[in-house]
Order: sequence, then structure tokens, then C-alpha cells
Amino acid sequence: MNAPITRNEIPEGVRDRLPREAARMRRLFAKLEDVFRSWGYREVLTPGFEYLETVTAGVGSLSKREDLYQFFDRKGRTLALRADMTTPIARVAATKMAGEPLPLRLSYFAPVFRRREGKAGSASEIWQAGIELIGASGPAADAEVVAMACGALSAAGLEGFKIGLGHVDFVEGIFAAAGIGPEREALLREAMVGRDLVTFEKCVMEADLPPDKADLLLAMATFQGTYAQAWERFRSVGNGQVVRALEQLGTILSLLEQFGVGNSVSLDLGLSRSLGYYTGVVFEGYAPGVGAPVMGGGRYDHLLADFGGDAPATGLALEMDRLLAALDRQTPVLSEPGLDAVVACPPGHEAQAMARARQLRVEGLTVEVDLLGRTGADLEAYARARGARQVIGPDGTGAAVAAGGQRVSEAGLFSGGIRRLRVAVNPIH
Amino acid sequence: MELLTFALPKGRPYGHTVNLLRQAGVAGPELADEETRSLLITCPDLGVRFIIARDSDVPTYVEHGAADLGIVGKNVLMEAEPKVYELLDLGYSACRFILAAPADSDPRVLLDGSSARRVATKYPKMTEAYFRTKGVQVETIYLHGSIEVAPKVGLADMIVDITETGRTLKENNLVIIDNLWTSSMRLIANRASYRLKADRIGPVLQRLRELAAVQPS
Repeated sequence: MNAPITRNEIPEGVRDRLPREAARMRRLFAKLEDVFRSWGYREVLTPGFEYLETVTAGVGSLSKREDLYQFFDRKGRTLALRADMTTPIARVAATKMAGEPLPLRLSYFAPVFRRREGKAGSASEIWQAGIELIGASGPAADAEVVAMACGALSAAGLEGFKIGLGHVDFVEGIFAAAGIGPEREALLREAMVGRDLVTFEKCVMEADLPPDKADLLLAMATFQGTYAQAWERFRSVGNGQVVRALEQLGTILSLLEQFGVGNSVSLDLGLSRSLGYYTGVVFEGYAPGVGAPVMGGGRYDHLLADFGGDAPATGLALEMDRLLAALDRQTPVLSEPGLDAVVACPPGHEAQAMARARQLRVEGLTVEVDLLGRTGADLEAYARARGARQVIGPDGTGAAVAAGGQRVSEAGLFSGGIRRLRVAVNPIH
Repeated sequence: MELLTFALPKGRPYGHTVNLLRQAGVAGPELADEETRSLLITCPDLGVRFIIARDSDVPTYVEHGAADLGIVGKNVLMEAEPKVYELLDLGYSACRFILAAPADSDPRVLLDGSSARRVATKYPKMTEAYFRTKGVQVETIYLHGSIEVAPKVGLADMIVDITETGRTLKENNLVIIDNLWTSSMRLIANRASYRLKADRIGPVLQRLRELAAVQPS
């Protein structure tokens, strides 16, 4: 009997992760977490939903509210699924952890939720791993976060990634220097987020600015080059904000150079991130073959004030699915970490099989007891389907499971890569 | 040299695209100005490769990184809204999105909102967006081609389509009620390639920018 189809379906934008994929995600997070922990970051968990006012702190604009999953509690207050992790962690830092010595170094691994219905292939449940560094301003703090991003991406095994560095104040200062009205500026900013250079250029041309001002805006949006070139081009625009932003970027870049990650980082002065709460250095990380950033972040010095706190902060988030896609493209994953052995358990041998399995587990192996009482070819077929390397009888006699279905002799069993099992298959005395 | 991959649209703009790329020194003689049966062409000396695709597939190749760069009409981009960077207006294949109806119909009646009118189009998203801003309810009928025939056979009251010269409209006894948007060919880039292959993309962009500037669009 088929169940009604709606029962078997899951909504657009979410997905199940079967054992193999779940294991990949966990393994990837374990690698990232090792890096986070070794830099002194501690994991926090926050609720999946909060009051709408909390979730929208720092996000603000109505267009973003449309992207939230909202519902009501019993008193009629509006709740929303968290749309990012930075906001709840800012809340925790400003309230429950307010007494702790600064800076706070916090990490997380969690899904965030954004409505993406109707956009084919985009996820509404987005798994992120990331960190927040709260209570430290200055280039060293910015450099720590970017360096850690490089460390995390390298630890994940990703090759050939690039991190682009921009600055909110630089963009602000250029707009001020160009003297373009607020309405046009809003259009230009929107074009920058999507890097729609055609619209950007048209909008600049329509503004009827003096040629040098128009050139300045275009140079910002399209800049690609070294720090020296950027300094040369933009230092003389006559705006203190621009100069200070460039100086900060220069210091951070030279620190990153000294940290040994300079090659992975470049300036991206036209970088504009869609979240509204950024205040200083912002960055995005790209990997070959994935058309969206695998990582992003930046400084948000005023977000804690929304929760009654007052501390500068910066952080980053890694997009787990995009990172997995990039890694997959680099080296396709062929198998999940295998099962070491299946212990046969013919009826009446339960106690013996369990004892055998327990002994093998003590020795550090991953072992299943076959609960369906299979023997012979049936058991071997099951072991092969599960990717087990060994079938072991309850009495401890073992045989390797050959890929082609051939049973390997006991002599062959103990040679080479599975020598480790020799101890395991000695009969219990 | 790392291969730089372009996705190019088949069909009408193909010849112009090839000329432009050859003129820019981006493509070699391997990329023939007539379409051939081969859909994957490599110019080993220049380190470039071309995927020849349906125009509506070009953004898909670029968005997913199968191609680093693509050339495609703005009309396609507006309908598909791919997550790619739009780098340059190349100017050619200029056309207009228009709303048209049979010459003997009264546009005021068609748009008075008293009853839902049917609009045939290849661009349903754009059409709905347009009528939403006008506050007029319509029923959108999605067709893959030959839109201009729809009013004649009673399938629709109006059409939203693109036109370069307006000739097809005239032949089918249709008149333009409104001009919606204009379109022309665009250079688009994969978001990761834009950074990771900046040293390859930069000069291509620069050269095409120079050529687009001198070309009558």
C-alpha cells in the first residue's frame, strides 16, 4: 500500500542526509572544530527559534523579514527560526556571558533557516560552522579571523581557495567622495551585492557626475589588483574614511603575509555583503567550481549594542554544503569509513557472539553483530553490502570479505593491510 | 596554462559573438563563424575552450562553474535570475521586451482589469512582474516559441515577447501597447572564477570593454 504522496515528500529547500552524507558532514566539522578549538574557541548552542525582534536585530530591513520563517507562541508573540548564528551569539555574549573576560572566542555548528522557496536548488536550511571573536577590535583581531578561515579551509583539505578582503568604510567613503545622492547610492549598493557591473555602470552614467567621480565609483566596483595599486589609486580621493580603511586593510594584509597565508588572500574593494550589520573589514572565500562563497564574514561592532552590550566583534561562517561540494569536486569521496567486521550470530550463539564483538570493540574496531542469524553466502553478501572487511564467527574464526565475492583463505587474511586483525581473531579462551 | 571556459549561445547571435571574440584575440580559428555539429571547441594555443549551448542554458553552465564566462542576452538573465556576475553590456543583439495585442483590439479594454486577460509569453516571470507593477491581473500562458501566433488562434489576448525590428509583429497584425524593457548581449562570470581566475578574466574583460565601446549598439 502506498502512503499518500504528501507524507513521503519533504518541503522544498530542505533535505535528508543519509548515513554516508551525514558522516561526511560530521567528519568535516570535526576538522574545522579542531582548528577552532586550537585557537581557543569554545562551542555554544543557541535555540533554533527566538522572538522575531531578536532574530531581526541587525538585519532590520523588510525585504529580509520576508525570508524568515515566522510563527506564534501561545501568547501571540511572533517567533522566527534563526536566520544566522551571529545575531543569537551576539545576544548571548551581551547578556549571559557579559561577565566573562574579553575577548570571547565562541564557535558553533548549526543550521540556519531562510525562505528560498521558488528558487530552484537553493537551500532553506543551511548548515554553517563558524566562529565569533567578541571584544577585540583592531587589525590583529581581523587578521586572526581571516587567518583562521585559511587554517580551517586548509584543514578541511580544500586547495586553491581565495579569500577576498573588503571594507565597509572604504565603500562608504567612496560614495561620500563621489557625492552621489542616497537614492542612487541604494541602487548602486544593490548592484554591488550581486556584482551587476552593467547596472552599476548605467546607474553611474545616469547620475551625470563629473568624469573623475564616475571613474572613482567604477574603479571601486571593478578593482582587482595589489595593495600598492589600490593605495595609489584611492588614497588621494580626499576622504579620511577611505584612507583609514585602506590603512587598516594594509596592516591586516601584511599581518596575514607574516602569518604565512598571504597567498590565499587578495583585496576585493568592491565586496559588499548582503547582511546589514557589518561595520569594518568584510571578506568572502571562494573555491574552484563552486559559484557561491564557501565562507564569509566580517566585523560588526554595533550588533551587541542592540542587546544592551557594547563590544566590537568580528566573525566568520563556513557554508558546509558548498564546502562539501568544493571538496567533492576536488577529490570525489568513494566510500564511507568502513565497518571492520560483522560477527556471525547463528541462533543459540547470541552470548558468544556478543562477547566476541565486545572484545573486538575493546580493541578499537567497529563491529556489528548480525542480528538476523545469517550464515554462509548470505552473511558474506550482507557484510559486503555494508562494506565490512571481515566476517567473524562467534568462536573467533574469521575470513576477509573479498571485493569480488571470493572468500580469502586464512593465510591470506593475515597478510598486508589487515594484519591488525590477527589478535582479534584468536579464539576466546 | 589553466583553461578558461566560455559558454556561448547558438542561434542568431552566434556569428556576431564569434567575430567579437576573434577580434578580441580571445578565440582562435578553431572557433568557426558558422555553427558546426561540435559543441565543445578548444583553442589550445590560447588556453580557452568554448561550450556552444542553447541560450537559456548559458547562465546555468556559468552559475555552476562548468564555464567561467558566458555570453548571453539580458532577456535570458532577467527571466532566469542566475547567481552570476554581469560584467559587461556587449551592446549587440539589442531588442525590446514589448507587450503587443491584435491591431483591432482596444488596449484600454484589455488592461482595464475587469476580467483576467490571457497573455502568451516565453518569459512568464518577467510578464508576471510587469503586470504586478501595473496592478493588472492576467493569466500567463507559457509557450516555448511562436508566441506571435497565440492571439490569432484564440490562445491569448496579448503577448509579451522580444522584438528587434518589429517585423514579425507587423506580419501577424500585432501592435505594440507598451515597451517593457530593453535587452542586449552581456558578458557574465561565475562568481568563484571571477576571483580565482582574475588574471585570465581581467584582460578579456578589458579587451571586450574596448571593443564594446567602439561598436554601435
